[in-house]
Amino acid sequence: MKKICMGAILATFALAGCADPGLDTPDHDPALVEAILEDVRVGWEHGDGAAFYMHFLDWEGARYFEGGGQNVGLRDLVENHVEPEAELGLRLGFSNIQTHFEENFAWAVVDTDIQLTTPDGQDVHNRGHGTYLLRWVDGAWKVVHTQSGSSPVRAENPGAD
Amino acid sequence: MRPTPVGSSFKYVDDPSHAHALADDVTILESGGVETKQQYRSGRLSGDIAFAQAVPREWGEIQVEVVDDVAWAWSTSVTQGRMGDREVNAQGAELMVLARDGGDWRIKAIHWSSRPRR
Repeated sequence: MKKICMGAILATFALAGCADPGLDTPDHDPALVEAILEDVRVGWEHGDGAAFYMHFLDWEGARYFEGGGQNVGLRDLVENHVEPEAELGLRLGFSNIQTHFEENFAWAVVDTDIQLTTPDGQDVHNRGHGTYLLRWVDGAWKVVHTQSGSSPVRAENPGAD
Repeated sequence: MRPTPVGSSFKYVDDPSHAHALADDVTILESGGVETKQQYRSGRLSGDIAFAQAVPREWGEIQVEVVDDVAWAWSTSVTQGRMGDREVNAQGAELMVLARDGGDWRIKAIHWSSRPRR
């Protein structure tokens, strides 16, 4: 009897696994990626790392580029970029999100609008683009790499993108 | 299997053997906006070639990650020199997304960004 019960339990788990193909099958709904980017955008503005720890895959070798600079790993991104930049009154806009899917991989291109005030009182207003790469991991899209670049809206700055 | 992402050289060399690596629906991002393959090749490519010939660029190692039939590659660079009367001293980053098309890798997205060196 005990063996039968154990068998039934195992069969139930097996069926439960089969009944939830969503974990293995990537969902190619752009709204999922757009929701992640909105969480990330708000996280940037508020200096809140929670959105990043939730939506980013913290993997060895992760790099996040902005302009020509980079953060190495998720913690470096949050503590040395997200949090300090929010203290400058960052206002970040995302628009025109274009998401592309290739099986369990996706990338999204977004137009960005950045406004902040530097510690020495200089107002910065840049526009540019961001590219977010994502993988389908355990039933969710996870950001694995980012790159962004921007240039001043008014002033000419040939050395920057 | 490592993809052959062409590295960064194709951007600066108008060579048909490199152009085939770009997917027809490639997205190219740099300052100035989002461009298609046709827009880039008929637009800024010649200027980029002239810039690359005039200003030396030192590339870092290309890092590649492969996930099944998709890969992404990134690298960094330092550009230092003179273009006409303009002094250039910038650090940059490059990102490419590639997908396997049959037996070949095609570049589906490119993002170049840079900023003045401090």
